[in-house]
Amino acid sequence: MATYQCPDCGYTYDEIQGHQHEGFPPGTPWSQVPDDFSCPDCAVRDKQDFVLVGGAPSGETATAQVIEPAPAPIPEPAPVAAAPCAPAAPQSPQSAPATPAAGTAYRKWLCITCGHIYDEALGDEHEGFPPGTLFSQIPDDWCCPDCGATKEDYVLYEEK
Amino acid sequence: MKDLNEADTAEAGTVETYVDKKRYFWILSVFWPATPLIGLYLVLETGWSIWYGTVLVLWYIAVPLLDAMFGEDFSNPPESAVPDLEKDRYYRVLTYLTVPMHYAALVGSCWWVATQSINAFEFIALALSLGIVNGLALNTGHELGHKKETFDRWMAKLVLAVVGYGHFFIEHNKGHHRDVATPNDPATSRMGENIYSFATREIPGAFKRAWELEEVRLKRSGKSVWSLDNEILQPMIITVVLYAGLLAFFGPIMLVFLPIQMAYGWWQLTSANYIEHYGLLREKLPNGKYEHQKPHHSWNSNHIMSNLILFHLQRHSDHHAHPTRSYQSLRDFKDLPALPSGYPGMFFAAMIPSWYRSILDHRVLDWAKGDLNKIQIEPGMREYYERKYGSVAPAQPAAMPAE
Repeated sequence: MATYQCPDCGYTYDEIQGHQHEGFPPGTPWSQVPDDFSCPDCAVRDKQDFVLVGGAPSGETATAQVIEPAPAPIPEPAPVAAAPCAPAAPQSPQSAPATPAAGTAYRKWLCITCGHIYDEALGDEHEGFPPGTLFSQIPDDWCCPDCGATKEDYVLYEEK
Repeated sequence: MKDLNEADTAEAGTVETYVDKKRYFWILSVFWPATPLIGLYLVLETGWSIWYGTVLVLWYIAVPLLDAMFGEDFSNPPESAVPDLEKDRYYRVLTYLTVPMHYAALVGSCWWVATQSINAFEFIALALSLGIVNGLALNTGHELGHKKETFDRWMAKLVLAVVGYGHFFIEHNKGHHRDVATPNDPATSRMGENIYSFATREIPGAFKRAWELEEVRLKRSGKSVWSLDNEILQPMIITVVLYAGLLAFFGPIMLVFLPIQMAYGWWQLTSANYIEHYGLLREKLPNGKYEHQKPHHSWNSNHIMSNLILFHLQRHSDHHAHPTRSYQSLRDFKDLPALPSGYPGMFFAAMIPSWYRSILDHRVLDWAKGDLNKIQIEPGMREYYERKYGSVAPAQPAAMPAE
């Protein structure tokens, strides 16, 4: 039984609970959710965008989307105290990317220019950052893949 | 840019001390629906029938002037303050309080029409006034309908029932947000399309999409689309009961009054949909899907006056990129496609198609960097635009290719 999360609004689909209101009784596996399913809360992400955040997918073996570093703790509201991370601070690049200690609380970073979100838990394959790459490990000259804003234009993104 | 620097420094230094300057001004959104009643009170006090036009003058003249006077507010709450803003019940309670205001405006106006001597001109002015503010019942229903809690969603159904547009929150949340700025969306207007022909596409298209979405959802649960779990039928039943009650109480004059105010209420929504995404188009990706909904797929307006009576609806860009954000946390972004006035002024301009096109078309073109292929164009208007703008060279690919 697995849990999948909408990367925009944080809605989670839990296979154990299903989603009665949407017509998925408890125990409905993710694979049976139709491909054109949009997030019932925000509708701006659909099934393919959802991320496995807990448990193992029932049936088939893990898909490519699975987050490598173990059941990654969902980047739930990072404690407010995390604020002092000023966006610019070029922190010392920590050793090897993608191997943070298990249990790291991953965070999300928001491009203040266009709203693009960099999620440490997911990384960004397209940009060459494996899942688990911390924002601080990203090179300082990296730019927003959507709008070209600089790394300094990102701020810590905390969810409701 | 100044505003962004402000946001950044706030992020870095003054996390604890963030004060929402607009906090108490949002009360304007709660009182706005009462304006027809205020107008009627002034009629009563002075005996001047000119006060029947209070809302029309406020909405189409005063608010646009105030928008021009007070200008735009670019400030954003620092991201670190947003979780607390979102949790603060105060903001949510304001939206709840707006719900009975809409009912009061409806019942009060109906009572007036039924009991006072009123000439045809005054009658129409009052019906249109009520239509305008109850068009904003759709705005309140919009804010509440995006919330995840059952209570909020029921409040949304209740307030949408006032103008008989209960299918809105299904249509909008699950349909419009999914399809926005694509040819699949009947609630996105095309460049060159006038609002009148847009209305004939949008109003039936929206209902059809909502109904189909509910049908699919209920079918999965093994229920009929005609069951009481149908969230379109629920508010529709409220509307029928409400309007039947008004008819029984206030007599046959309601048969004329209610449809006019309702139609003009719907017209407000049509106007909003018309201006919110005019001409904008999301790019189609190689896999056949459209790129994600980003802030630049909506026209934004930071005009402070109209935002304060509309629960920040006009910060539409952030709303569409992140639909579950509450109104108090919506942000402005750099380089958004921006409207030159708030919604009331733009609604007015939209009613005169050639004027609207002269305001917006060149902005759409700028947005697309001169490339007509990146714009949704009304069929039949393409040649006209190619003649008009064809000389503008298509833009070079942006410095950073979109993902």
